Amino acid sequence: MTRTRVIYDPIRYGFAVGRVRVLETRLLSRATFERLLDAHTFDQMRRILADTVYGGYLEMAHTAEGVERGLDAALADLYDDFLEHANLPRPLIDYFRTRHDFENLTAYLKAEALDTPAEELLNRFGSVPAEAFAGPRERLPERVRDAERRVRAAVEKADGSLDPDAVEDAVDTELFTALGEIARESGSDFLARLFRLEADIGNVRAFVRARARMVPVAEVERRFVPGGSIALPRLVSIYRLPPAEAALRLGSHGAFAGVDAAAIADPARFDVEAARLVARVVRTSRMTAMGPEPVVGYVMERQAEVRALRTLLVGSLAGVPADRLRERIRCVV
Amino acid sequence: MNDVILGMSGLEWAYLGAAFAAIGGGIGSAIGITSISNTATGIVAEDAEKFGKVLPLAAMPGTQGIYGFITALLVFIFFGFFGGEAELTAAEGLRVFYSCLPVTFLCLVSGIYQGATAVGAAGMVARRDEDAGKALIFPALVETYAVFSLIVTILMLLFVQG
Repeated sequence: MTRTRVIYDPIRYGFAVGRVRVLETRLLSRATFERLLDAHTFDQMRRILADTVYGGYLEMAHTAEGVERGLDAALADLYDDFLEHANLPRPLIDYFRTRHDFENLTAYLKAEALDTPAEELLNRFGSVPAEAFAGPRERLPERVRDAERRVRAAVEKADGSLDPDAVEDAVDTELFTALGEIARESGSDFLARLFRLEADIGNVRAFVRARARMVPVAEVERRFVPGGSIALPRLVSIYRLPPAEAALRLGSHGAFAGVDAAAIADPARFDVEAARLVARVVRTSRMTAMGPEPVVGYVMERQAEVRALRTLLVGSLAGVPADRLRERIRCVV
Repeated sequence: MNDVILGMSGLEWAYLGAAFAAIGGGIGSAIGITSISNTATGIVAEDAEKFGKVLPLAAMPGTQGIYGFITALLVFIFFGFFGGEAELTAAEGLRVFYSCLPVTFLCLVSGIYQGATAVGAAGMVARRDEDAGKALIFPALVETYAVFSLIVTILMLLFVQG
């Protein structure tokens, strides 16, 4: 396998990696983020961004809605222009698109459960147009269709209506099952490793948040998703331990080795540490000359960049102090 | 001439050697160039000004195919294939075949790996224009061994001819 990678990886990923090598140079630098943080007004921020790839997207943005629209367009272009037009193997594209399909599925099912319109809650980053969720189920990808059937069965109440509180956890379980399948289909060790890390982070995040709100074991169990390197029964048994010991146990696990136990016990600090763990994987992926790693790394960096810009720009419009914003985007900067 | 080795005459062994050299070098170059060309196309798709800087990298694995072609041509020239007066004993033909093996295998392997090295070098050029010169050095180092194989093959052919 390793021997043939030297021949097949350039054929599968060569074009995309070539594009990535140039596009990486257009990612926002640390200095740009510092300038954005030092800017006093939203207009100053927009002027700084005018010379970057985001200039065109934010040209007409004057409100939080405008920023959201502009950054959504930037993300949509990342998927439509880059991912779909880089001759990439389908599983790699699906790894990113599928989670948006499942976000739409959550929104659609929740809207149905609460008897509200779903249109405004749907995003346009999935593998099928958002409108497909309102139409006949045949228009949905098979994976999503099957997942919807299972989720409905799991969250249906006695009167036939859906339990809105259970939808998210049930869809998350299906999402991670689907992502695990996609990672396996891709045949990429890197994607499989990344998926395991994401599943571990998702589970420990659910663990930490449930802990903080003293959620009972029976309820927290359904919030865990499959595919992580920490077995679910083990997570449940750790959940039963006293907080300090539970944090120590989780901190001793491979993916979280070296993470401060106190950070694992604190939901806010855990989010920062989790972002740092993912950032470390992404940084390493940039050092790989050929394969899916640089492509996945680039897409994740752009996603993080868009998230950071959203926080900065919307935060600035809402009058959030620069120090708070700096703290929020610390992992990207 | 009735003498044969493994059912093949001297001329047939020499033909086989020439064919192997051309095929091995050709495959190495084809794979190597495909590797780097895919990446180079991606780079140029995003930044057309990089074309001139990645072109030498894309062309570099092409030399292995040329070495294979030269080897085949030398076999034909040295042993009189063009004049129709080629005459080789089975032992001589087998020696010609052996002489072609360094180019066959080294050009096949080095072509593929030179392409892989050039991909990394193209990444350097994509990031920093000023590194274009340095980027050429690393794939060029792989070339050394393809050149050595050609020299060894030519010397061996000369010994057989002499």
